[in-house]
Amino acid sequence: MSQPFALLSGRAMSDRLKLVVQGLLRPSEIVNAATEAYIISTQDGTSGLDNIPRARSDLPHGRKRVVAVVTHFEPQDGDRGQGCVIVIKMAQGPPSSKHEYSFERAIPITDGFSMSMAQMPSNTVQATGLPRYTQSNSANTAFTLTIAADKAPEAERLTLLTYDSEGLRTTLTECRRCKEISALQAEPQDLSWLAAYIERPSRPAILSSVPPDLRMLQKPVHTLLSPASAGQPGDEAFDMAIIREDWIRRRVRDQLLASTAPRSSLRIRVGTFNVNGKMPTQDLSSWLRDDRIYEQFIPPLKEISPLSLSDLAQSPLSTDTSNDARDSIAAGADDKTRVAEDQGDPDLFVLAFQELDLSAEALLYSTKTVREDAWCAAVFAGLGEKAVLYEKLVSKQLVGMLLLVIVRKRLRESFSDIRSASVGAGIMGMMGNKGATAVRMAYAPTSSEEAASTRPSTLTFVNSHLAAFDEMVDRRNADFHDICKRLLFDTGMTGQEPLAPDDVSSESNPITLNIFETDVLFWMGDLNYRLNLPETDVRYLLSSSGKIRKSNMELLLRFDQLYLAQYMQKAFENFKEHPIRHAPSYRFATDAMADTLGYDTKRKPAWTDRILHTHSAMVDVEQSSYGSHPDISMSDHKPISANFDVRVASLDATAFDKFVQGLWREVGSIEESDEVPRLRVDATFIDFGTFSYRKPSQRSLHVENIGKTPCTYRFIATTLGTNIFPEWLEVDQVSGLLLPGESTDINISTRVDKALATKLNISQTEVTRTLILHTAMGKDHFITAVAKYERTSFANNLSMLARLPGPIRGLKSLNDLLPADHAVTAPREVMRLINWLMTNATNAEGLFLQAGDSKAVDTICECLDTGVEFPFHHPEKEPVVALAFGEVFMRFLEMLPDPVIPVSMFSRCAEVSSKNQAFELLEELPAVNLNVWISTTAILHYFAQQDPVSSRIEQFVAVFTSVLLPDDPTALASPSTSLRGKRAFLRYFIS
Amino acid sequence: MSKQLQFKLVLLGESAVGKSSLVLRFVKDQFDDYRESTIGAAFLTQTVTLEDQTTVKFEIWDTAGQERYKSLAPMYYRNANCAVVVYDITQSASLEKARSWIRELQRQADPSIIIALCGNKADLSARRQVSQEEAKKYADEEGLMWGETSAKSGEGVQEIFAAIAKKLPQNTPASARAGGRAGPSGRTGVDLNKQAAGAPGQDEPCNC
Ligand SMILES: Nc1nc2c(ncn2[C@@H]2O[C@H](COP(=O)(O)OP(=O)(O)OP(=O)(O)O)[C@@H](O)[C@H]2O)c(=O)[nH]1
Ligand SMILES: [Mg+2]
Repeated sequence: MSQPFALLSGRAMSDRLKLVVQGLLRPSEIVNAATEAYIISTQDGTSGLDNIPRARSDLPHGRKRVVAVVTHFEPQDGDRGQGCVIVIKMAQGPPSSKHEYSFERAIPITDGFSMSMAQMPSNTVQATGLPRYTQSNSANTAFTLTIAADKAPEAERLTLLTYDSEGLRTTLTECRRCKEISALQAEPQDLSWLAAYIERPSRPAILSSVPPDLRMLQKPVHTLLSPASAGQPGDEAFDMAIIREDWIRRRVRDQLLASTAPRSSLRIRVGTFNVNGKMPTQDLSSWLRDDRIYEQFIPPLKEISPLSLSDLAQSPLSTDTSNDARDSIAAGADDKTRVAEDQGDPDLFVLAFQELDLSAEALLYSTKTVREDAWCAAVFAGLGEKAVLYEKLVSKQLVGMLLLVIVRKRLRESFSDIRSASVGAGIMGMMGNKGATAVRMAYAPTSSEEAASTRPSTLTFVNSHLAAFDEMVDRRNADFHDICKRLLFDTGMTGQEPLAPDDVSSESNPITLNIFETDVLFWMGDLNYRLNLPETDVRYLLSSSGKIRKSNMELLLRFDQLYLAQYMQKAFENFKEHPIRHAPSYRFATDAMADTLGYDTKRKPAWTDRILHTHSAMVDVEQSSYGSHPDISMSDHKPISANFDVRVASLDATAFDKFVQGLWREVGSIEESDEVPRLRVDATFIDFGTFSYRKPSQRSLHVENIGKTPCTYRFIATTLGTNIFPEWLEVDQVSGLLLPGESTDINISTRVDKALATKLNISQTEVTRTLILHTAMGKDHFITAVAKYERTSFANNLSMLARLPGPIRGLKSLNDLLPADHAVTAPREVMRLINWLMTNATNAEGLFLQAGDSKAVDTICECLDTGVEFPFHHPEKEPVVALAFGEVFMRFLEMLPDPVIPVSMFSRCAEVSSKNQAFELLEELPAVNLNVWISTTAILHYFAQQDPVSSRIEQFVAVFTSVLLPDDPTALASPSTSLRGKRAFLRYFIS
Repeated sequence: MSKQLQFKLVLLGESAVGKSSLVLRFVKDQFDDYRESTIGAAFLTQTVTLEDQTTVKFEIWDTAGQERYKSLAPMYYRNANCAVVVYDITQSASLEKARSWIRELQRQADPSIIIALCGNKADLSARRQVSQEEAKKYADEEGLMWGETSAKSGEGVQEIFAAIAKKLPQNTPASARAGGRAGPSGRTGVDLNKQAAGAPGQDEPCNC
């Protein structure tokens, strides 16, 4: 007889479920029964019945629930307890993940509670067409279960469908028992414990197999918290959840990642190449292999027709045909043993192509073309004898954009869950001439020792081609955001359906993953960012050589639109890019069309082709190279490559889960605690003493949890919408969590930047502010910070300096400033520096070009502020002191809030074409500015004359143009004033 | 089912008059001879049950009495439904201070705020400097509730809070009364005790 067996299996199943549910509950709650069911409707049963799926297999997974009867015990309750029905949702994650649970409903079993069941009409079941065996009948009989809370309106009833008759029976029995107990109770029950089971994730998000969005992780935690201020604590439960999640993440990072496990390193070579519609006609090895970079330039192969090349291409890629091409390349090596694997060889090649095909047909019918195969073949050819070690893992093409991933065969098995996506962007968006393609994969280093499963890391790669043309920078930034939003990976799964029973259409609501839901994201491609400088400047700076080439290149990069977009947080925020040392990769031309460097005379050169990345704390990324490959000349762009070392911790998946669950047990239910959270701060008053632009002052605040529960805290502002801290203070932990008995030191330090120095120099020097440290669910602690600002002669307007009656540090009140008509003709600080330099620095090698001794720099600054004599008695013996004076002088000029010559005059300066004109312009300057300009240029002229090195003038011109006539690279709109023109202007005064 | 109401209450008054001691007596029925002066604002809750079984939950902000934190007090009394302004019956200066708090509340706080003037340290009546008559007269003139308490002996403490609870409007939903988000809202969102429509508020005179 199989009847007892069926019964047993039913019981075994509900026992297993009970265990699972118990694991989700707090120790104060015990599971009495649990059964699996499918939600049909939250409305009354009859209307729901029509929508019951006809077969069990038709039941969508998203409707699956666990119905559990749970009893809560209070210490004083004895063994009676309070009953409750909890409905738990089992959300299905991606295939590789485990189930995730969330509490959906918690219905107290009180007097008015009701639960009823009914067997489904048998014809409904028969209609499934499933064979019905008498013996296993019970397993296929469906029951409906209707649950109604005390006094719940009709509409809030819950109807579920279940096949688990055994589980259902115990569920009903337990409910009846709980109801009887409840009826015995005289006073109304305190049901606050139920809060723990209402709409709150039962597991920390870090356990999800989908990594959290990098953009969220990269935001400082306190910026994610709810708005709060003194007396208005905000949404405390929400804040606690955020702070707790961050705390768990930190613990994992500091305790697990830091201590555990060998890190497994993955070498990735990333490349990007806009091929301008060309077919591969050159050896690509320098782009692919480091050992080939310095090899002889290889002349282009003879043009091969696309057809013949694609024939050649077939073999290394397709698994079904013979490998003749690769064989010939690898000189007959068909066996790994014959080709040595090199430690330094990449494990993964990720190669991005743009403009693979420029033909109109490609735009219209974006199907795979022979071109992908041709480039693929060329890549394998470029790998030379190593080609046999690799195979294609995945590729994704959208019109001209192709992303190709090649893997070391030996590691093929470490990659799983491979998905790709693409999206068109821009005005022609749908056409796909611009946009992005992407690939995402899970990587779990396979450990040879145990069979234990390693926790995988997710890698994501994006290849994009953004809008072209110099002035389209806003379009490019918009393309970036558009791609971020719309480039989504399909998981092949559908999400939760709305509960309305008649809304069948929306059941296929696909679950997608965005490109930031990853541990590491590489973004490469022809991003098309240009340079915000006039074309003549760009070519002029690029053609420089010798000593000033490096600084000119750095200067040029400051006008790079991508750098500026990042700096101004308009796009690619939080992405890292290795410093660029290679020449712009665009746009090259041949012969007559090219300038001396090979760049097209009709286009402004630019670093259009880029490779960036961003990652979470779960992985380490180190970039060891970034460069272009000028020997490959078939396109108007040069290919770019970068080597990365991605290190992931080899964490055992179960050990990881256990570690996190352990943390969760400590802090998972702090918001439900009845204990008053108590923090002790060791100071209510902090005197920072004096601070200045150069000398910050730091103090620490010791905070200890003296209560019985874990406690979260955060600094809050006095009123909503104002700053938490005054602008002169910064704090290293704005929020945090402490376990009972734990303590931490919060570092608080003063902070003065140039703009604040300008402001504080003309304000009261005593500053004070009461900081508020809020304990969640508890006290606001006041900590009063006081400090005295020391004024500095730096970062002041020249007109203000000229009105100082003496050294700035001696200024008691702003009322003591000289009236404007009694101002001195030039600030005494400038004159002191110039006098010293003229007297002592004439033989100083490297003056204004090399940094000085930092101690000496500080001393000089201090003397300027206080009026004390410079303490250097034998300057001729200490050349570093002279360099220090040079540095201070330049810093002084750099820090002026307004340049000596007003910015508004810059464009006219740049157009001056004679010495006379240059001097005429100066007549517009205020007297003080004129004096500073004249004496500064005079000293530069003098030193340049003295110098035996003839190029000195040019060096001074280059350096001092950016000091005296600084650019505002943040003015993104149009190329700023000609740098060349400004240098010419300065040259009239120096040479 | 009985009614549940929630109100925000703030304690104000000169330093050392016994604000924190009053709250400690009210919430935990304890007293401490050596209390540290409050530097900040302490948040506590306590529920009182009225005769008609209505429960009134107070979200209490006990503020710092020290002069240097005076500018922060408005952050705590704004949105408050009731304020207890405390003086020390052995310090006539503390009544002066209480008067100035009351003037400030009348000017700046929510116009519907209920203010109770509370003369603490009634156990020290031998050293009394403020007579009951004087304080009562002032309270009557200003339309305030008034009572004397001793946080030390417990005398009058429950009574003054209960009187406030009675005086608070009884017919408005708790959420609206507590000034929106005022007070830690970590435990809100659970609506297990659906509130029945309440009886209109009784405006009972203070009887303590
Ligand atoms: N005898 C007596 N002493 C009291 C009474 N209430 C408070 N005290 C004492 O008075 C002192 C100050 O009490 P606190 O409660 O700290 O005063 P506070 O108003 O909170 O002071 P701040 O926090 O500085 O604003 C403590 O030493 C208490 O023990 C009382 O009713 N009788
Ligand atoms: Mg106090």
